[in-house]
Amino acid sequence: MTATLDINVSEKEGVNILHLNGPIDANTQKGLEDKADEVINGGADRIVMDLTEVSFMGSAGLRALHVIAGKFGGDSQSEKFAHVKLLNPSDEVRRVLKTLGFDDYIDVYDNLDQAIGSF
Amino acid sequence: MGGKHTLVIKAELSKLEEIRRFIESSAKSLRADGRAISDLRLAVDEAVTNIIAYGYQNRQGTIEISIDRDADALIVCLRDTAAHFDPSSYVASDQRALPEREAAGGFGIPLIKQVVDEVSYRVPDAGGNELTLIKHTE
Repeated sequence: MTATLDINVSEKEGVNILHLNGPIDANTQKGLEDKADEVINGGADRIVMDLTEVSFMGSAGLRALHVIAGKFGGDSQSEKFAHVKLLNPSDEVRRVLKTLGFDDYIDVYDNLDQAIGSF
Repeated sequence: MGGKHTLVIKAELSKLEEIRRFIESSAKSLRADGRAISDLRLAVDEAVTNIIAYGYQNRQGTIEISIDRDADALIVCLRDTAAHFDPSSYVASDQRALPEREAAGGFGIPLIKQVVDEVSYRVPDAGGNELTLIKHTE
C-alpha cells in the first residue's frame, strides 16, 4: 500500500498554483520539492500550494516548505516564505504548522482569490 | 475490539501509508477519539521515518509496531534492530525557531514531543531499540 502525492499545476493572474492530492510524508516530499523546483526554474516567483486534498502532512511537509521557500531570495526567512502561500489545509495540517511555529512565517488562506490577492 | 495490535513491517518509506492506516484502525478499535488518533498517527509516522533514515540509514530492516490501551492511555511501542538512536534525548544543535534554521531538518522529534504525552527509549536485552509513545485519552 504505497500512497502517492499527485501534483497538478495551474496558473492564475501570474501566480502558480500547485494542487496537491495525497499525503505529504518522507516518501512523497522529494517529489513535491522537485515539482516546485521545476515551476520555480520556469520563472515562478509566487506560489500557492493548494492543500485541499492533502490527506496527511507531517514534518516532511514542513521540510519541503522550508526547502521551497529557501529557493527564493530574501534577507530573512520571512521574506523567503512570503513567496509561498497555503490554501485550505485541514485542521490537522494547521495544527502541524502551528505546533512547529510555521504559522508565524507562512500565510494560510481558505479562498484562492484571497491567496492570490495577498502577494 | 480491544487488545494489543501488532504490525511487523519492512523499514521502507513506501510503507508509511500502511503504517498510518494500521495506527488509525487500531487506535479506533481501542476507543481513541479523533484527536488522539490523529496525534498518534503523526507521532508514529515521524518516529518510523527517523528509524528508517537515521537508524537503518535506508538499509534493509524491519520495524515492529504495537499499540495497546492501558486504562486512560494508548501505548505505542516501536522496536527495531537498527543502530542505537535515542530520539527522547535528542537536542538540536541549532536552537533557533525551526523556520529560521538554515537546514530543513530536525523537525520530527519536536513534533513527536508536542503531540504525545510521554516519549521513552530503552535498549532491550536482545539489542536494538525500543521507543515507547504514550498518549493519554479522556
